[in-house]
Amino acid sequence: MNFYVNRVRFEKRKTYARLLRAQGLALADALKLFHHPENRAYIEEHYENLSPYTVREALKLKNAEQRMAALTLLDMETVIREVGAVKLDKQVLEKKQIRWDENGEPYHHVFRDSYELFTMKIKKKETPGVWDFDTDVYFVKCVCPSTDRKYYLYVPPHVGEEKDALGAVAWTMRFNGNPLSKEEYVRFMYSET
Amino acid sequence: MNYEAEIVKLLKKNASMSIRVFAEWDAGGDSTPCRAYPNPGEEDYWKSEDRPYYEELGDRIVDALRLPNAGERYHAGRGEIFLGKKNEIFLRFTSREYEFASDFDIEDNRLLRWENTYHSGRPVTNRESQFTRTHVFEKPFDIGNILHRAELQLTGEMDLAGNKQANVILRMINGDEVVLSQEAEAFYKKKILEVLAESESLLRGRKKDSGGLFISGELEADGSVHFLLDTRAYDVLNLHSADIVSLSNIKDPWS
Repeated sequence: MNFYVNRVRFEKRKTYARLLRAQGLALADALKLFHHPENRAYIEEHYENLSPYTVREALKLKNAEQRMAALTLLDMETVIREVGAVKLDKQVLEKKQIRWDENGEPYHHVFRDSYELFTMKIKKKETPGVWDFDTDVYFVKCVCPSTDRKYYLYVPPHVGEEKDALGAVAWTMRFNGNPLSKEEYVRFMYSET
Repeated sequence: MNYEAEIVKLLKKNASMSIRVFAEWDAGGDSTPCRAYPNPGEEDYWKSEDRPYYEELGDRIVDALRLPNAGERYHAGRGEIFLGKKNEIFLRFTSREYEFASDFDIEDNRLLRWENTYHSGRPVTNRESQFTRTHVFEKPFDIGNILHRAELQLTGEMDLAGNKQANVILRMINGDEVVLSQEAEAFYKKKILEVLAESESLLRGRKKDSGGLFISGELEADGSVHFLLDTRAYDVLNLHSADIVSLSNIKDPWS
């Protein structure tokens, strides 16, 4: 029997159940994902004693679709913690926007926006068959001011090595096909809605 | 890599173990998925040492059948790969290759198709080529209980001779796999065929190059299905049935 995570097939029930544990699903919610009586019985008996699937295990999955599906279930802060990502820089900007109240009157909204740059080491020996070399991966964490959703954006090594969180988030944006500089980002961001 | 000798060796080895090699593809719409795989052994072949040879067979099918990628041409089918007497690699396949007529008449600068709603079995106007029709299943078996983590897709088609075909696919999104029972499949197919029959009048007066009537819909949690009925015309329609093509010494058709 197969088990699915966002349409991606996993063959083992225990692996799937451990992924649900890693996602933080309570037993009652996990049971909603099982139809067959034997699976439901297994979940009821074992679910809360299963160890959650780890980030390291997810990174070792050789099937790229399965690896991606597993990682999407995991909380990104957990990923950062488990892989031992190191924060290289944090910068906070005070932003001022014009917003409109319920009467349609404009007002200035002031908020603090933070950017954090991380690096993590990928070791070939820990991810056999997945990564062919040891490397440092860089990513910048930022928060969407409209939705409060957190984003973790990859940046290439030559950008990450600058250890400048604001410069890194600027690189993720393009104008006329070219990445923004830190100064351009600060200047342009005042037009964000 | 060519892998001709390795593939011949693999097919011989498979034959000695009663392992058949199948292929399937569903090309068009910006992608060209095509794969060859052993049966039994479909579950694990991608991690075996033979994987490159199966991938090479998939690539050869793409080239041999000139499977489409972008554009309005589609080609879906399946077949079986086998060795000839002189160790030539063949594919016996059944497929459907088609290309719809353009929706837009460039010379006249006008839209050729319209969308409208099919109310109570009557088209709102007489010029539509695409309609919708809603049907509510009062007892959608147990499928309604799993639609928070699965999709039930219902499709059907009818050619100008009135030949009808119905397909039901249950696609899992999350959770354990649920297989549609034969009873449930027959139930949904019966309804698809009924909708096709009720809509037969839409085909009257169509040209001979008409693509016939297609319907598609997805079961909603409340038991309803919004069928899209489409009477588009074909520019190209090739139906292959047990055709045979060589997969040996394939040249890149695009070079």
